[in-house]
Amino acid sequence: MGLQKGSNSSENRQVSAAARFAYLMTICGSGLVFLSLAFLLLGAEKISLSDVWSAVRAFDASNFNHLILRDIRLPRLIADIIVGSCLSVAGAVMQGQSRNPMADSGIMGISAGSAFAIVLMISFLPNATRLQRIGFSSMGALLATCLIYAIGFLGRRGGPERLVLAGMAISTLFGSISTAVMLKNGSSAQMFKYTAGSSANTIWQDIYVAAPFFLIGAVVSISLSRQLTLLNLSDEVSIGLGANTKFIRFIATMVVLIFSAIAVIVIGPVGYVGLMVPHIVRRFVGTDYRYVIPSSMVMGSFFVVIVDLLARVAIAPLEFPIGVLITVVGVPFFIYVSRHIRDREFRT
Amino acid sequence: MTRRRTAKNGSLIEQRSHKKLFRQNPRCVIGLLLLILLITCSVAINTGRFPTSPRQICEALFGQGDPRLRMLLLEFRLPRMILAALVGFGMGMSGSMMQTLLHNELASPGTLGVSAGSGLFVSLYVALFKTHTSTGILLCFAALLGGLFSAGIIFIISMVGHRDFQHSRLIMTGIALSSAYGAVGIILMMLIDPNRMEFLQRWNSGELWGTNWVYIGHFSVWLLIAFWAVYSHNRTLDVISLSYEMAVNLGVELKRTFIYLSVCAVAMASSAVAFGGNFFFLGLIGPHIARYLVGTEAKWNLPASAMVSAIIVLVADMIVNQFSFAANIPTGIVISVLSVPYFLYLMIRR
Repeated sequence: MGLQKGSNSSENRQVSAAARFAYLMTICGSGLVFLSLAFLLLGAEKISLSDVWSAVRAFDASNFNHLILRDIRLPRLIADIIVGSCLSVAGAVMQGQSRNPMADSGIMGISAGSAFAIVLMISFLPNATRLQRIGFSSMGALLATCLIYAIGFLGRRGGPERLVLAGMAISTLFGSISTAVMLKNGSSAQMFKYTAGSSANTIWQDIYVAAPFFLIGAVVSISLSRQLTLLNLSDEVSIGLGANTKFIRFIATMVVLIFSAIAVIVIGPVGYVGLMVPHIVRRFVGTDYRYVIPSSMVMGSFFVVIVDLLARVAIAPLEFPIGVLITVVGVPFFIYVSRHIRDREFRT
Repeated sequence: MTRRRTAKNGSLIEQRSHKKLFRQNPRCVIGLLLLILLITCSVAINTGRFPTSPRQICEALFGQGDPRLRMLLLEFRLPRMILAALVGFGMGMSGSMMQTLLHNELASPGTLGVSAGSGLFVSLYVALFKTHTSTGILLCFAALLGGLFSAGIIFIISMVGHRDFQHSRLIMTGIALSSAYGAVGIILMMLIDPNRMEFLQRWNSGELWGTNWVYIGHFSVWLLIAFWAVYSHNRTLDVISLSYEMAVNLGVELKRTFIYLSVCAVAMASSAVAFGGNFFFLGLIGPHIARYLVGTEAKWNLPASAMVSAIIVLVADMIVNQFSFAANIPTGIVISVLSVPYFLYLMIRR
């Protein structure tokens, strides 16, 4: 929307979008830094800034506050940042490659598929390593994706709404089977995460396993961004300009799968982030995916960290499951998007 | 009336030929459904962890036999069975009415978010006042309030946008809203009484929890009143099912009737939600099967939807009781697993 306000010449538009991109990145980036600091300081146990500083300079294993910082808050903060980026980029890539403004890994049931696979794995193969867990999670995501696209393909008039409805139904299906399995095996806290979504109890191992995949995915998605911009216009344009659409779609789908799998491993099935963040980002920087993807990363992290901070601080020492808070914010946005955003704005 | 409606949608004409037999004899179909319902009930009362013979059950029902067995039957199995049937009645009729009123074949208390809204109010009511028994009617009113609240919200949203109910967008909004109600429920529950989280989780996936004779009494009276209020207007429902313009032309006071019937539909669904739990897809598939069997005429469709849904709940509950895996899995989960494929099929077919 912002783009129409600018001048008509394409050169000016380019400059303006780049400027907006820089502006957005600066604001969100500095906001993220401040929030991270607040995240480390606030909570059930208040920690002073000097404690943080001394923990960085000379870590003292007998100091309780230092231990909280190192083993509880820092991994959780990093988990939130990773998940925020993953979910938002997955949403942006899905929306770009399918030209479906409502696409989101949580809403479309992909996260539910991952969570289902993990719940099954925890109940039947309790000794699986974390690496295997990522494998299972991706398989679940793949299963859900295949189901959704099969339905979209079989239903002759696909349309965004049809796909989203199918995704919601599949998400219900996976969710209810997961709940049944959980209730059968006694719902432990570890399992609860995979139905409601929570970043509590994140430990460093989670991050060690997730981080490499995250980095690979980030590099791939950024290098894919130019092609995504073309794909977002139309298949014909894309092919005409010499892009291999099938290959790009395949890679894009892989990125989405890996990212949703990581997000589910770390924090559980959380929806709506991948819907909200790219839409807000596109408002600012337009539909050039070279800008959309990096800004989605930063803004997504920003959003998840702020919500998690809220979840921890609001009713300390208890805390809300983060997925629940995100749903409360996300549903009005979802309804707004479903009512107002038509192809016009999406494609610009 | 049925014929005219089917003739409009060309694709339905072919399907009609093999449905003809059913549709021309709605009375027989209703009778057959009643018979199936009774058979299901009699099988349902025999399933469970303790095997019982039909003779023992008859003895117990007439006040004889082993007192322990009688307690098992009268305090556990029978109320649960009746509750399951009543939930099916409420959800089925409500779904059928919503589909007719909105001209949207995916509409139902679950997919419009109505049942999640009433559930939100019920769980809050239970958490706030920590009540049991004797307040069944209040529980019904809390549920009704919640149902009307959520129906109002989705109505306003759909009116603001495109002024139509027929789109899948309406259903999408409804499902999203219902997840939001669930989330708000969890947040409020954590603020009020975190110990009741499991109740909420179980309720959300659809557990028959109000198995208590007092509740059942209230529930059945409430349902009976709502049923009477709707059934006396069955001709109006038929007229509305044609189209809103037609209804106005035929002298229906559309606004008032629409609100009246919607309130009745919400009342049925919300009482089922209050005592039964959130059966997400039940109100959707029951009426669909009923429409397949007896057509769209409300006079036959309403009771048929009620009975089909009741049979579905009973069968699901039977599966749960028989294979409960010692974990007491909520009945709604079985229904969801059974009905999601049907929902997806509906989507593919259209």
